[in-house]
Amino acid sequence: MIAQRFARYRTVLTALVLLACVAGAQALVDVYRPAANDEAGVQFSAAAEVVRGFAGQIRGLLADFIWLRVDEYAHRRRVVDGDINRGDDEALMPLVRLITWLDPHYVSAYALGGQWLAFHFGKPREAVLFYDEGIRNNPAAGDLLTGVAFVDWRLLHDNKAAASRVEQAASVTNDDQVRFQAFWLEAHILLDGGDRAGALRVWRRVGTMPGYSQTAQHFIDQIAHGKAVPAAPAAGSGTLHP
Amino acid sequence: MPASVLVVARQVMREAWRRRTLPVLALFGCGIIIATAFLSFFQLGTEIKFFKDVAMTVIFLFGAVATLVLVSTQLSGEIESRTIYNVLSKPIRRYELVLGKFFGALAAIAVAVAPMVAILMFFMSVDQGGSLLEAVKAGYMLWLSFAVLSAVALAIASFSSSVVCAALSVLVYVASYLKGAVIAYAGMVTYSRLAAGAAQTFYYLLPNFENFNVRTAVVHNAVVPWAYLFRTTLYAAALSAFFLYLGTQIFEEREF
Repeated sequence: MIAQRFARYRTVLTALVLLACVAGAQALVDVYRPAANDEAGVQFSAAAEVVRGFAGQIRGLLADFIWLRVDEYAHRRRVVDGDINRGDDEALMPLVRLITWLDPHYVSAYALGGQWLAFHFGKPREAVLFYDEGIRNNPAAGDLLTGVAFVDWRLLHDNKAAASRVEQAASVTNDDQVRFQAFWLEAHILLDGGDRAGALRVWRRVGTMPGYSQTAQHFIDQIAHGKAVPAAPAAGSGTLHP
Repeated sequence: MPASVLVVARQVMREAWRRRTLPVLALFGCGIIIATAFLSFFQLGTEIKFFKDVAMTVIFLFGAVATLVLVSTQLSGEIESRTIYNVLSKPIRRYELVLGKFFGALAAIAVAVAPMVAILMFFMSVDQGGSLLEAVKAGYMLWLSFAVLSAVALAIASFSSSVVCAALSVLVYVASYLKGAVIAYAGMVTYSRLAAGAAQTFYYLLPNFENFNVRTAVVHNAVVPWAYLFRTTLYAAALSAFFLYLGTQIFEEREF
């Protein structure tokens, strides 16, 4: 009698047990998900979630194809009102935003978007926010750190923040060439702010890098002779077009 | 595993190759991946990323289409062409038939997907484009997602026609990707605990194909932990078992 009663509910019970197994397995997977795909830890807006949801597994390819379009826009320069730097800027930014939604590890898109916001749209603060999002999603991207440092330095005139960003850029990479570029920028930022001792300190650090001692000595000599100082931007203005 | 399951599985594989759909899809996929390897219009330094993205997408798309074409024409195809009467007149149980179809489809899909993964690995090794082991892992994860898709399609095929089965399977797949957006919106539009609880329940109970997506690891040269592979395999097994159980129960109840 009990067995018969049980048999009636057996199907439902088994299905429920299997569903519980599915939920349990999902919980187990969730623990390791960020290790397998660090996009899982990125905070997306609801709009980004919808775009990502519709794109499904082809979102990487979609980001690549949009990047091809962005690349075309960025390089298809034309003179607008006598200004060669005004290309198809308006069309470019939404595409860049889409790319970063689809693939938050698209460092080139963050770098280009930040540069465009700062130097083509004249919105350095928005550019810094955009760069910061990129840095959060790609902590080891030296390109973004030097990019935001450049905006901090030339447009926001915050040499201290700029120098600290470049210092960070030099610390996230083991590539000596990238480190040299970061140090080169840091030394110029420090000199621009009148910190000769700081600049010398940076060049001495460059001198300890294998293969860079002669270059470092050259710049140390230049500083000693009062050279190697970048021209200060005019008061109240920044370098609008790098 | 009962011998009848193996017999059905072997039959599914043989039929898959006889129909030519799977080999043609696999050939097309391989062709696209090879052609992409020779495209150099992308900017310096990102060609290999672009190639890996295209290859992973092609493997996924062609694998998913192959799975749907193959599985949706299995049970419902047999019912529509009335060959099911012949099959069920043999000493075979209905659940064995469903399991045989499932394992046969898995084997056929593996054979179709393997050459595409091999080509991806070949060009990765030529261009020094990252770890080959990660490419194998990604291929395995995609195959797991096809296994779950097969189980879903078989469950739907047990009560519907092949066209409806293919359409509903695609719908389940899309819904599984959109649930992230639904949960995000639920969190935005309401602070109700009930809604949040319902969203969480949805999250844990609906199939989550995003679990099998390790494209980022392959494309950005990261490492997929073995523990993740093991847990995802468990997840695929649990989900497949659930849908196969549903399918067999519905199929057992059907009268022919």
